[in-house]
Amino acid sequence: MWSSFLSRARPTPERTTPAVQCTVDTPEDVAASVEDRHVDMSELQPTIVLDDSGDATLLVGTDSAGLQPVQVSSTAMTLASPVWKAMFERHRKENGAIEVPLRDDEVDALYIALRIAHLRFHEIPRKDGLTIDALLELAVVCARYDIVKLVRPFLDLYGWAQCHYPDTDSGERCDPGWFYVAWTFGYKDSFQRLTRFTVKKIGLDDDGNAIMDDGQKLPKYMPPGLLGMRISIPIETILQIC
Amino acid sequence: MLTNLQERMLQIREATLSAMLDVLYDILDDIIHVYVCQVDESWEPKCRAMVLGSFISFLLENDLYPARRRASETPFSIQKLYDLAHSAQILTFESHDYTGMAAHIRRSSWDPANVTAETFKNNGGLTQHKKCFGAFHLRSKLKTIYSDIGSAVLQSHIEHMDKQALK
Repeated sequence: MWSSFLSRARPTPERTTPAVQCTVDTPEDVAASVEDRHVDMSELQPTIVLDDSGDATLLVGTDSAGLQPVQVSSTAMTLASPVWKAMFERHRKENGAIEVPLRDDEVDALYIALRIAHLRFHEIPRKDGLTIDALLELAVVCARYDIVKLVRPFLDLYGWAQCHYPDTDSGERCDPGWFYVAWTFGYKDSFQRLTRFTVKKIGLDDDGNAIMDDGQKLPKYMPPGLLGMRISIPIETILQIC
Repeated sequence: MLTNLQERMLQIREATLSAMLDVLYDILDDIIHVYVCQVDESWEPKCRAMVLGSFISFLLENDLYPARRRASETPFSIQKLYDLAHSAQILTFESHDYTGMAAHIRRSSWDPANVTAETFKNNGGLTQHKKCFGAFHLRSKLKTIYSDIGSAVLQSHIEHMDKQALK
């Protein structure tokens, strides 16, 4: 079943989208930012069941890729994440059925988190089972829903991050996607080394955008800077919220 | 206002490139205005022409001349500019080393006991122009800048990652 999720066609997130900084401080704000608009039920795909006695349905994905209903346990998710908790509390007030749209781009990463939250450990990727892009998306999901604690044991157990650890001496695996991974999971040393490495390798393309010497573009998710702890959100998400 | 890591890295890139470009253009001005030849005043016009011509060629090839570029106008990374400048072939006037000839004469019947390289140097025989460009210290100046690049990592980044690592 896991492979069917991975193979479901979806556009790969563009790495060129300019990052936009948006202050999102509370779980309630984050919860509100990923739920919005009316859902046309005819667009839905067959339901994925993570808990057959689950009391809530998530509508996962984007309009362009189609929405995927996922039957979940609000109790399990509420225990795992304060953001999910706020999300369900908000919807309980309005709708007894608890149907929550989650307009996430990072669907595969979200499924990993949901499967861990529902104790379906046999359905998550095994050793070295994530690409750097998939790992970046998992980091984004973990930061968005504040579920680092939930995911870290499996991150360590299966070495999802270790195989992408940058080697700044040889220049291998120095993918700028690692910045957000290190930022989210607290890999301070590699973050500092990769920063020193990357500063030397950043040039500008014909349009004046930052680009690495080897042609890599910087990912849309980069750690924020000075002014408090803020979450970097792509501009499409901002537009959805507004 | 700094907003994210990428902006900080780009600011450091620009500041570093700016310092490196200052070195390049200062050397260009020096070649034009100061005495270049380290061997002998009589060689100065030819020696300067070689150094200046090849240095300007290097700048032209990399679109750093005739307009003097600001850091914000150049697409190079720090590494790229450093490597380009480090490998630049700045020509100097031809050097002559008559040491070999002195040895040959020593082996011949020409008063071998008294002929040395110094004999020819004193008569313009030993001329080493390689140091005529070396005196501008291009590589060492760039290396100093390259080795002293600031960090884009803030204390707030460190504190956040320390906190995340405990989760």
